[in-house]
Amino acid sequence: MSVINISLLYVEDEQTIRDYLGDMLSRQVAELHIAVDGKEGLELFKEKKPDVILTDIRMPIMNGLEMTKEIRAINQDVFIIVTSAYSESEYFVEAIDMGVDNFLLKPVNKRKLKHLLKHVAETKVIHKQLLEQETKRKKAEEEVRNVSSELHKVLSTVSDAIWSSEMDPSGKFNYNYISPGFEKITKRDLDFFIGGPNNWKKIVHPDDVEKWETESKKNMNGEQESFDLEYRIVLPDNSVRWIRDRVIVSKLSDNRIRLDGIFSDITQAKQSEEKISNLYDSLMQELQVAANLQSYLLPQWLTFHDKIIFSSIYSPSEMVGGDLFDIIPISDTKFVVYLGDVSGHGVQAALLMTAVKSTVNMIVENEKHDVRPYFVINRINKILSKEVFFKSYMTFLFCVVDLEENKIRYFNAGHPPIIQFDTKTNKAKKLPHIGHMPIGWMPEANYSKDDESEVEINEDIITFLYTDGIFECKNRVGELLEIDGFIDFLEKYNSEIDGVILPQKFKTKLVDLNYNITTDDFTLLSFRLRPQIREKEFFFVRSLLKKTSEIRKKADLYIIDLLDNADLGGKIELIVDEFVNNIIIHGLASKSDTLIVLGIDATQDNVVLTIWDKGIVWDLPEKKKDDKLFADKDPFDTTGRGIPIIYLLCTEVRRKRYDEINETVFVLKSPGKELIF
Amino acid sequence: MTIEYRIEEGIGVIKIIGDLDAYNVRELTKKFHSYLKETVLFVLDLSELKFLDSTGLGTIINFVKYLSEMDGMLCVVNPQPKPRMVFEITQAYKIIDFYDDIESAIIALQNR
Repeated sequence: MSVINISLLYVEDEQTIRDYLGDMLSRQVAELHIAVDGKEGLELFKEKKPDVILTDIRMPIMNGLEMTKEIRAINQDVFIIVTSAYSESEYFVEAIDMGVDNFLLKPVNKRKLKHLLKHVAETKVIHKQLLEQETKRKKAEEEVRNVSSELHKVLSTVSDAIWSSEMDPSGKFNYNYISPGFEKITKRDLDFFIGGPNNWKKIVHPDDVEKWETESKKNMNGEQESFDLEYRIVLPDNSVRWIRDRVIVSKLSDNRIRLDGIFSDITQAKQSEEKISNLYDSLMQELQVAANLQSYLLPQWLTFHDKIIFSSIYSPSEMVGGDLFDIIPISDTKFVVYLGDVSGHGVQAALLMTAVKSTVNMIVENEKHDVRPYFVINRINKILSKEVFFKSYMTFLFCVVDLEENKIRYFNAGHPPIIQFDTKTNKAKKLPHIGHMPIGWMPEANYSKDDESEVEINEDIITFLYTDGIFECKNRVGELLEIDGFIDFLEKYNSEIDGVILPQKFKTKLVDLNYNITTDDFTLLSFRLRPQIREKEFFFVRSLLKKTSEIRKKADLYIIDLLDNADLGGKIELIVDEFVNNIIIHGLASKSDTLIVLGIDATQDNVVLTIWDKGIVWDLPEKKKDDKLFADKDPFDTTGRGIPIIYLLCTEVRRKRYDEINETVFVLKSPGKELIF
Repeated sequence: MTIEYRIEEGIGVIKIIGDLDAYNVRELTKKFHSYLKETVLFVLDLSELKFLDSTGLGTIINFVKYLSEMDGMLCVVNPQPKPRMVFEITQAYKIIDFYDDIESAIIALQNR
């Protein structure tokens, strides 16, 4: 038999009945307390707090109803059952008033009592569960109230505007929440925002309406799940603010859409961004000006004299660099050639380079009558150590090229050695590295005449001066070229690396072989005596249409003089005119460097014309067969005949770019190709 | 480049002395437009033209094209070897009539 899980207080004065029922109850309920009258019952109730009270009415000292009244005053929940004889029915109404829950007639029917107690027990369980749930609910409600209050506090202090709304299929908006940040940012009241996107559109800056509308439409159509846009809004006082507007779109049931958003005032960030961007632009512009100025300070890619040709390439790793070089004619047969590398690179090195170069040129100018390399180096070191070099220094190579004696006299102040390549033997070599420490290390250093060197030159020798950017470049597997690699390179690729743009061809070959030449300033200067033979000649012209006639006429006269062939001269004149005009019309890359060079290599069998220009990249049009060159052309076309004329006159035309220089080669058979008329 | 101009029997005779190239074509075009006020029939005397390039030729073709639209005409007289080479290479003879002397050209223009 299962015990009913309740505690029960049984109050009965008649011992017989008490024993009878008490015995039964003690076996049926989990906890039983027995009292003999109302007073004792009240005491026990206060002490034990039972779930159920079963009490007789008539009892000495305090009857059952008096006790019930007292108990109800302190507890509304306890279940109270009164046992009474039928004759006591007059108490019933009073008992109900007292808050009695049930009556059992005496003699108590045990089965009924048991049934009742079971019911009370079940009710007690349900009641307990309900009570627990109610407690939990109250607690949860309390928590939500607390969190919500905290959230409001937080949101009211956040300067961003946070909002949440729902849009029904008809496009109508219902706003669930809008934080006070809205009013702070837009200087408009909340009703304005509740007006929906149509109101919002009114305050979007006219220049930004289109992009705002395009993006928001995607949201409304459900095309995108989020929106993140920066645009301007106009405040009531007509001031303009930049905002960042972010919205997350979620689809709800019944085709409704939920939109949660946050927008922030980013005006300050935008203004800073703009300031930085302007600053950057102006800095880059100034740097570009500096780069242009620096390129003016250095000789152009080709320097041409009667007996010698100097070619050079200079590419700083950044916009400006610390390499410097110059070619200064002292007389018709004497040239100062120098090359230096100021430590570091970038703007600081470039500024130093400028100071150094003016100092060097000034000293050379003063010593022009008798330039002695060791003396110049001493002067440079003294002046620069004192005035310019503090933490920096410079490696320096100073040469005097004497074309009467065919000798170079030079002083090497810590610079990589001169390299000479003999075109006859195809061998390259480093010149002995005597010399002294770099300039700027010791102001009191003495650069002695004994440390000068001298080397002979002839028409077969190409002399190279360079900075470490050349031999410190690495290939794809990280191997340095090194000076010996430079020498091997010249010997291996001499057939490709030739002519007046030798430095450009050298650099192009390095790049072709995957050497990275962008990490340091890259300067290479080469010079060679001009072969004194009539069959090879060079002509130079500035990139101006009115100058074209000068160079074409020179070429014509040269061919007539050399080959006594006026017809061929006329053709060459036409080719030169057409091509040089093409270069000029296509535009030259740098206005500071507008040199166009024509080389002619003529024999009785053929004439090779080579034109070099520092113009922009443009390709020759496709060559058609000779008889199609003009046959397919509209005879009334007024343009587009220049290059076809060249194609028709030449047996071969090829064009290739080496670094910044275009090389175009034209081959003509002498006395000239038979023309088809 | 020097340009000489005269009207002979109602026909404009333009003589170009020197070079006609990309640099000076604009000068010829400018003058040609002023000659158009008087006639649309021209003889281009090239007996003293030393050099002609494709831009110069393009300008002459432009005149020929323009005059044909105006019911006019331009003939070329006596080009020297270098300019003649340009006319020949480019097959410009397909649209330009060549004459050995000015008189023949004038007669041809009058009888066209």
